[in-house]
Amino acid sequence: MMKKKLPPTAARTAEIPAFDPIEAALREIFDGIESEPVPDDFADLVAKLGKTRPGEA
Amino acid sequence: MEATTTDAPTDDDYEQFRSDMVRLIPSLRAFARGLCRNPDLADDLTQEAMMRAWASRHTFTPGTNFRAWMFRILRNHFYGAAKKLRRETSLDPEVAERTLVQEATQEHALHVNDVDTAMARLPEHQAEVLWLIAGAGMSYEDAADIVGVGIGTIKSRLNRARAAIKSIIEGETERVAV
Repeated sequence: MMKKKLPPTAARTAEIPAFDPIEAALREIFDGIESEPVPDDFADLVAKLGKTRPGEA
Repeated sequence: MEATTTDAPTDDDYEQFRSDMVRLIPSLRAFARGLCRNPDLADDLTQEAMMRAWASRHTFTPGTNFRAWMFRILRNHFYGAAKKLRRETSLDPEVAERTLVQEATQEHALHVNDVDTAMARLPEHQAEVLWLIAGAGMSYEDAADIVGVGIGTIKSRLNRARAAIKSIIEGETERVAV
């Protein structure tokens, strides 16, 4: 019997032994947020961080 | 982040650190959203965590789990100064609706909104473990590191969270059916 290849999101949750619709729903919610566009103010923050030394906020 | 052989971090190391942190922003936002359940507050929490991580970048050990390290900083900030943000009772309705529409053809589509609602009713320490392991795909070891407890505690909290969320959803289903 051939093993079905797991999608990436299922493969990374190898701790979960079997398909669970609740945990699958949580993955969907998490992945949905991850796939949202990142607001522009994060880019501003990253640019600002590049100008600071360790220990400075 | 790649391990380095030099003692003092170089500018390249810090540039690598910054790149790794930028790649993690979507995951950090998602983790924060699960903690405080408010998109705007979650982004504030994420940005504060990034500033703290950047200020402490010299304390990160290259070759260790950067994602877990960042999640721990964010979580500590939430349970410390940011605890005033408190959890809200549901995720952004627009996000929940969009998720439902996107997943409408999948087997578990009916559970997404129910699960989101039930998560808001779980005790915080159970919800965060379920969110870390089922949502973020963290291992038990990494979740234990982030939360600051032993693996046994993570497993027991996870089991209790699974049982509680199923009970909440089944209870709601029975109530609707009556």
